[in-house]
Amino acid sequence: MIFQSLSRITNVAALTVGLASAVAAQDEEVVLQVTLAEETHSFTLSDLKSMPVSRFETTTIWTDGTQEFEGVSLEQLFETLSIDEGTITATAINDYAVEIPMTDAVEDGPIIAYHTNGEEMSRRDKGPLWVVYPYDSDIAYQTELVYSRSIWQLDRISVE
Amino acid sequence: MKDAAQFGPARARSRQVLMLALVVGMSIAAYLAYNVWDRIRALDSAQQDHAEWVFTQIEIEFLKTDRALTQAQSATPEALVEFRKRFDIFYSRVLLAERVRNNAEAKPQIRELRVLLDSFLPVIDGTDAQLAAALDDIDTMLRTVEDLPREIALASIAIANEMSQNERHEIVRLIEVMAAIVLIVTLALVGAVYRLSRQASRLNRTSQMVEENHLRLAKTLQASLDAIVVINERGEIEDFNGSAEEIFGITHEAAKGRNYVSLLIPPADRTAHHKRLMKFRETGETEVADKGRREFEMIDQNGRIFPVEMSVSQSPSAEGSLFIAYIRDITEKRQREAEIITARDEALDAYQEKSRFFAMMSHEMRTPLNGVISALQLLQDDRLDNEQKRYVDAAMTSGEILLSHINDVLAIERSEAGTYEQVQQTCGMTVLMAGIINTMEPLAEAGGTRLHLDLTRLEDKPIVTDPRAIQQILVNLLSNAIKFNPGGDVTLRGWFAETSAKAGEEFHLQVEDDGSGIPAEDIDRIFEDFVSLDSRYERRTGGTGLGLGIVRRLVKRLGGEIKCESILGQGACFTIRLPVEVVDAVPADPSDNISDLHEKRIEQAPAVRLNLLLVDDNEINRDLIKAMLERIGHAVTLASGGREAIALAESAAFDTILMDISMPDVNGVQATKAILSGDGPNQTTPIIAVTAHALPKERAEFATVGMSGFLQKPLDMKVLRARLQEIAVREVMPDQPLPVRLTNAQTLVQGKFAKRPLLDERQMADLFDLLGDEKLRERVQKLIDQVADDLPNLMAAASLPDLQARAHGMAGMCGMLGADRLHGLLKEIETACKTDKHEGARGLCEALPGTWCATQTAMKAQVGL
Repeated sequence: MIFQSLSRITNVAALTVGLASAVAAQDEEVVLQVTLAEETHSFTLSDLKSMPVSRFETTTIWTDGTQEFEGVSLEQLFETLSIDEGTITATAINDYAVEIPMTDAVEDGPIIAYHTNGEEMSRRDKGPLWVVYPYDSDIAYQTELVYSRSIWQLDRISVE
Repeated sequence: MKDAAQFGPARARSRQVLMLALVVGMSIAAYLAYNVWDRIRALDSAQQDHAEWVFTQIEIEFLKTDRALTQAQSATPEALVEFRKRFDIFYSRVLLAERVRNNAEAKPQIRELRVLLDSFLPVIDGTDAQLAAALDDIDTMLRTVEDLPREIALASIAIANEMSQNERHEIVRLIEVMAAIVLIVTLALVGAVYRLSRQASRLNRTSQMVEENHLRLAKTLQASLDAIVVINERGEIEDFNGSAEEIFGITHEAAKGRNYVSLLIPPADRTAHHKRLMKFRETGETEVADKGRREFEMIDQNGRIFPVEMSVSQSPSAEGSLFIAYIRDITEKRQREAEIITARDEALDAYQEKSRFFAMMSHEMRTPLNGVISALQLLQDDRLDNEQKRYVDAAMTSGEILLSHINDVLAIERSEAGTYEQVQQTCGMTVLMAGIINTMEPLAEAGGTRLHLDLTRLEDKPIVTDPRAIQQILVNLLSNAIKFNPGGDVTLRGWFAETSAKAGEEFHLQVEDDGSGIPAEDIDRIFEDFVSLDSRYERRTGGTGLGLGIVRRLVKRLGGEIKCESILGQGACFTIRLPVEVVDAVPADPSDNISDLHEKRIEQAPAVRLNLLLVDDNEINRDLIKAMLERIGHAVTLASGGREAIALAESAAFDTILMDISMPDVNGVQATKAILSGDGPNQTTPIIAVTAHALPKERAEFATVGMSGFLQKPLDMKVLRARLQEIAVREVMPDQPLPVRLTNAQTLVQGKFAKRPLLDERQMADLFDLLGDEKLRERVQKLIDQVADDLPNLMAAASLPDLQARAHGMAGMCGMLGADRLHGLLKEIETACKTDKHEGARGLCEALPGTWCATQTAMKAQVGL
């Protein structure tokens, strides 16, 4: 409830001041909505950053060279939200949607990254949120299925 | 077994090659399999996202952005936000597309799009008003690139197709290679299996053959007539065949495993066999095995020891060597051999008995013949009327023929007994052959046979041979030819021929006649002893049938061959091939020059009355010889035996003692010893042996006991006279030594030659007609030169055969040119030589210079030289 009201406030704020300073306002904008069966949790970047940070270095097929990613692990997120079963559907701002099995949410598994090499990611370049797997750590993560789950410009997660 | 050993290495090598190929093939296949697997794993871990998706998304996002732009142009603030969002998404898509690998096809379009989008960024990031104002421009600009997303999408499909095609090709290629390798490996494996199965079947066949061979061998061994015993190197019997069971009387079961030495070898030989076995075990050397047939003694179950012939072969086996002994009981063979040897010995004994019988009979016949001929000789000298004289002559001729037969038989006996002495000396064949022709001429004349000497093919050269043997051969052949060819022609030929095989020369002698010939079926028989083909003729011609037998023996003794060719009714031809040794030059005869000979000359002294002692146990002989001696003019005292002779010799001195040898009680040799070693007056008296039989060995004995000479019975009065004349000369000239050499001295010092004319006028006339004055002179001069050259050599000839040969040669030359007396003299010399009458020959030689001188003078006068 707090998140909901908070996001509503944020939405209003964003509507009023968002255009003046989009970047500055980003931290307080709702960047991710997690929809459970009954309820919807909205997260701003600050919310996410306040959660325990997961960090790893890996190469990706979409970038050049090794990148350092920083974010909230899916495991952490689902634990926070007390989600332990169901089908997770992640959706991007362009409505690209993909199913991520619950089993992917493991320790040292995928994260919802908000920093690349210590910097926030712009919407024009896969930001602000990007589900990233530690591809280099396990060849099992180097599959097209996993690549398809590596959704960027993530803004919604629903669990059913 | 040999094949497997031969093919073994090759087979092993091919097996190695096959193994290597398999290993290499499987390695390659494994490597490729790994590669393919790796590649498939790589497929599993996709290296990039779906490029088509990325590119097609550009088109979608372009359209969405375009729609958002259209809405934004309607100027609501939410629409601007939405446009910005869409723009950002579109922008991120373009960025992504830019980063996608293998985007070469679409790169220019993406680049163009990106440049355009970048140009919008200031406006997009500007204020809403600025953006709103720029929307139319953006719209216009976007219109200009609205085809690009489509193109990019299309290009992306081509890229994707190409990439997946490449990937597929790569995998297909790898799988193809792997399939090929697998195929090769499979083929190799199939080949190996095929090979192995072939080998297995060959092995099967081989072992089947071995099995069959083994069976066959076992059957063969079992069926062998020889006993076959197989023993191992410890001497234990491993196999024992059926024949062995029979021969040794031991069953196979009983023999197997037993030691052969204790079972089959007689106790006396066991140690030797044990030693041999031990030696083999220590050194591996065999003394009997593989050394051919040996003879041993073995023992059977019943203790019978019997001779065997054994051949042992050694054969290696897994448990050391095996010896396979083939044993044959040769008891019967031995018996047969013994029988044959006994039969042979008996036959030899019988033959020698017969031989002895002939010798004895000949001897026994010669003794009475001695009497007959001596009596006839005495009779001849008496006054007889013509008819009586003819009878006596006939009796003498018959006696002489009989004597020559007896001599033939004795000659055979001598050659059988090996007492014939071969005398090798240098001689010329021309001279020898001419001499023989001359010798045979009287016989030929008697039968009206013409003798020819054909020397056209002879290039004479001195050779070393036994001339006496050759003369004997020629005399026998020629006399045969003359006898069987009355009124015909007989030709003697001689020539040298190279032998093909040996590096030597052969001398060929040929006696050809044109008589009745010899039937083909008899040709092989004529050389046998006592063969007379024509008994009717035999009676006419006389002969023992030994002539050709003697020839055969002599030819064989000289190492030659004789063969006879004949066409019935056209004549016969005997050809003799003799190996001869050719000498390069005639060796000069250094001994006996003429002056020496002159010193030795025995003067024709008047007969001195000698006081003689005649010893003979045979009364008839005694009386006959006494009559002969008294007729010659000597005083004779008689002794009827050895004992009486010794007694007489002790009391009275004699000039010469004539001693019979074969006498009962005290024989001649013993009597001679006693007289010469006694105290009587006859210690230095010459004692002459008078005997019918005197082999060389016996003559040697006569000399050993001190006898001075030897006279052959039957005695010829001329011989007696001559012999005693030597003694008489010695009486007159005590310095004159008696000839030391014992000879059969039938000396004819006063030969018949003296009665011949110096020259045969008729022959000289014929020659004159034939040759003409000039040529005849030439010939005569040649003869004179030749004889002048040859005569000293002839006089100085050391041996009788040499003298004989030279006399022959010279006689031939002289006879041709009608030097009749010289020819006769030389022929007598030659005859004396031939009959081994040394003294006679030498005595006759003395007459040569004078006769030659006279002949030469007469000849010169005749031809006007």
